[in-house]
Amino acid sequence: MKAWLTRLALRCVPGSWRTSVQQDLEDECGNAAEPSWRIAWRMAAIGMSLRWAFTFDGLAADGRDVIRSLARSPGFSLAAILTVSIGIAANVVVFSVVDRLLFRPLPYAAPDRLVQIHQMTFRDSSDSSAFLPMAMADELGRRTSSLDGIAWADGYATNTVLAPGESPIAVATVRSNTLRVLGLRPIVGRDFDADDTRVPGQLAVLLTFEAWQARFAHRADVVGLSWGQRPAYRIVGVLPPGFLLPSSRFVEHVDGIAASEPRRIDQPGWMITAPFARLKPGATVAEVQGEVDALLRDTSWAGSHLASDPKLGRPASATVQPLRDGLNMLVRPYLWLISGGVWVLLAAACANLATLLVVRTRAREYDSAIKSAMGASATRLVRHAVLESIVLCAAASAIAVAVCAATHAALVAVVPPTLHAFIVAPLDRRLIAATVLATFAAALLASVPPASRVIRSDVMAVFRRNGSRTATTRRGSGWLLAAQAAFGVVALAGAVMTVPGFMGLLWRSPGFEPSNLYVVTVNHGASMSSLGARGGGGARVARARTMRDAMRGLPHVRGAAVALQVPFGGLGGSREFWKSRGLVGEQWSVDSGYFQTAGTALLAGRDMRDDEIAAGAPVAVLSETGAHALWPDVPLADVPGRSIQSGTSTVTVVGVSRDIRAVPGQPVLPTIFAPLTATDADDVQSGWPVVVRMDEGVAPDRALLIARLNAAFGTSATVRVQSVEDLMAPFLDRPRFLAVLFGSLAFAALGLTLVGLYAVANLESLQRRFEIGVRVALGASGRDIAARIFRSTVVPVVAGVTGGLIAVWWASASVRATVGELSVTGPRVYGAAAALLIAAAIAASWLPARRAARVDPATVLRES
Amino acid sequence: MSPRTSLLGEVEQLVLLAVLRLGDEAYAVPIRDLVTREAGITLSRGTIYVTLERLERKGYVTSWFSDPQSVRGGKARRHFRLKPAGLAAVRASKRAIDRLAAGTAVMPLSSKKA
Repeated sequence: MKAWLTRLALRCVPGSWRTSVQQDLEDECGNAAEPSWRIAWRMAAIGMSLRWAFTFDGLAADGRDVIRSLARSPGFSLAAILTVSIGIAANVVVFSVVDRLLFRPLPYAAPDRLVQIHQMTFRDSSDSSAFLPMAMADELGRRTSSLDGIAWADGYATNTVLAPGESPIAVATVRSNTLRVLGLRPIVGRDFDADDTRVPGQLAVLLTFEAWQARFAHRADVVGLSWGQRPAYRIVGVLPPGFLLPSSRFVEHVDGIAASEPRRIDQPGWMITAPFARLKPGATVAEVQGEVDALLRDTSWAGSHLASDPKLGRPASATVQPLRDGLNMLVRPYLWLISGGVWVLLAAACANLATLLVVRTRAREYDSAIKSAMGASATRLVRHAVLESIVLCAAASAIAVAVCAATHAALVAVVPPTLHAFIVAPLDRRLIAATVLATFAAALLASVPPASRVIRSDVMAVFRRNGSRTATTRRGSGWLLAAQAAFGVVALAGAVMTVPGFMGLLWRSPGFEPSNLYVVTVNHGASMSSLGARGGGGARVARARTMRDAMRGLPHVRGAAVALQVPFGGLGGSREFWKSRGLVGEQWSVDSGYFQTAGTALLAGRDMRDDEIAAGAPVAVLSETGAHALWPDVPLADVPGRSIQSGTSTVTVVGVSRDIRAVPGQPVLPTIFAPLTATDADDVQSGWPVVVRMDEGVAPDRALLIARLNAAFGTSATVRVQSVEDLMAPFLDRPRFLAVLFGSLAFAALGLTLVGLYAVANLESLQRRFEIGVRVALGASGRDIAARIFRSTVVPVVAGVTGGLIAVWWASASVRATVGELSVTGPRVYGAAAALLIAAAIAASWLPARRAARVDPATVLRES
Repeated sequence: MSPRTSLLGEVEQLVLLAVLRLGDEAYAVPIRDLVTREAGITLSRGTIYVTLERLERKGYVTSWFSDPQSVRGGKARRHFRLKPAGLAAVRASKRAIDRLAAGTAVMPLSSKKA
């Protein structure tokens, strides 16, 4: 027993100390009748501490050796560092965007007990929404036993101005119990209370910590500060640092939240974005889902006014899910796609580094054999290989972090504004920790092939062949090259699927002229009926004309026209006209002069006249696609004068307009433009948009407009001015981000492949100098030699490209189903991507091949 | 690392002085006993071995194996001897401490004793 234990423990002690340690312990413990296991334990502990010390003592020396050695090969070191820094930088950038959305715990108390309730389906399965009626959310909060409170944040931010000339403060409205549901407390001041929502027109505001810091310099007396009149804002406290608005409708920037308890909560049509709720301790998401389903099946529940509403119909389903899933549900596929892309890029960078290290190890095989023959252990040699990889990766990582920190502003400019709130600072602790982790993971992964090469190396065989190479290593680097080439094709394919699509969005005309075009929404805080606008076409036209004339009277206004819906930025009108014909299309209610104001050309016929609008005449203008949909074989010039049935009346088409693309990048829908007198205005819609064309670089004068509207209507109006370009921007942000991302990935992949190929081909030619010299001496031509070098690099690339194409073909269908912005590409485009990569491979190996072909056999043989 | 420029750690100083005092009988067990007895510091066995190994790598001590002990199953011990560089390092370290402590409350006490 004792002998067995001692032998085992002795294995832990380094050889140079083994007998001494054994004898010392025998001296000390041999006569003390100490149990053998305790002696063995001491021996093992001593052995481990010696090994630990040896390892770290040698580490510093090895590290210095590695750095000296890398400094002697600047070309190799630069290529390796550049390669890895590309992979690390891409991961740092993407992680800084996705971390808060995908991985970091939400900044709320017990976030795992927070859920989001969303996705009610109305009318039919094709017309669904992620909204929820307020009354229903309120009812759910009251009637479910597993919820400990339900709240909502509507995800819209209103810009309020503290004082003229100052930058606005963006305030988002939330339910007054929001902080209680989230489990947060203000760090200054107090939470919202019941009194904060009682007085109409007065909003209590909780400032974000960041706004408090930036705008008020941590002033404690900020509590109580008030501004504005309709509504009046009053600061009651400051939110904790890093507050995140719990809304899946991301807003660009929020400086504070205001408590708002809608007075018309029981009215049909009042919608909120998906509300969030806190589960009672022990309650599960499945239990809440069960309760919600039971409530929706209950036809007699208190929200019956919803069921009786002819427009909304009866809610069919609601999904309860963890809050994080709810927050990122609209962007999750993109985030995972992006994350996957950069992970693969890092893997490719690792493969590249491994290729470079394998070739370097092979080049220094003879030196390693000498070290081994002189007593260096395999562990020491492996440690050297791993250290080399770690030093390179650490340098690359430092460069990547420095570059990312320096270009942070550029990153923010590329990322869609709705994600800005989620981007973490470049020197964020979690980001740095993740970078260090990725660096070590990359270093260890990249060191596996060279380390295994060192372990498998046969010293005697190396001495016998004096550094010449074997087929095994050629196969090893070939596999790595093939993997890189495969990734390169995938990245290039991603680029050709996204970049042209985005460029198309920029280049394709939307059918109107968006520059200098504004949508001014006038709201009198009351319904149409109370303003007399519901009492027939005349009253509505009078109101529309008054608004239009007020706009036209403003300085620098070139044209203005009322439209019941904002026809830009994806907010279209009714679909009933086309639905009855089995088509998906839109009906917009517009005033005369709309086409001229929007800058949309009329292809045939004319616009609707003022008198037709005023009289509610049965006339309409069709879009080009709409005309083709109704009369496929009729030339556009013959469409005006034709009649169509709309509901119970017959409408005469007076003109055909150019197609208007309401959503950039989306297909054009057939559209019918009816007089704004022809449709009933929704009773709850008190705001009417007016499309206004301005002089170059001038925005509508809001204050003057309000004054004129108040004078005209005798009631005080609120006016929201939005540029059409701003309305359309969100639709361009995501495609732009994807295009930049995939473009960068493709560029990086191409760069990685080039660096890897060049390094392999170059070192291949250097390594085989002697062999090449002999071949040339025996009569091989320069072309034969160059062909050999080409073969060793281009053949694996061709194999990898083939594999990559198969992967692209297999994955493209499913990815395209998830990410709508990807354009459909045919085999020709993929073939072009493959050809580009192979051409790059040939270009990268051309210089080394040329150098190898010019080897002078006499010189080489003399050197050997 | 050059012996001339390297710094001695506290444990290294103690072990080097113990090796100097023990002469040819300097091996791990008596070194540990001497440090415990004279300095009142109990070092673990592992610390002694690691320090000796490190001092040898730095070129301050040299080691050799004794003949196996004349008992059944006796093994060879690893003995240590101070090299000139080690002696110089100890002296330099002592001088540095003396110079730094000169004029402070530490020195008058020790100089009075001396």
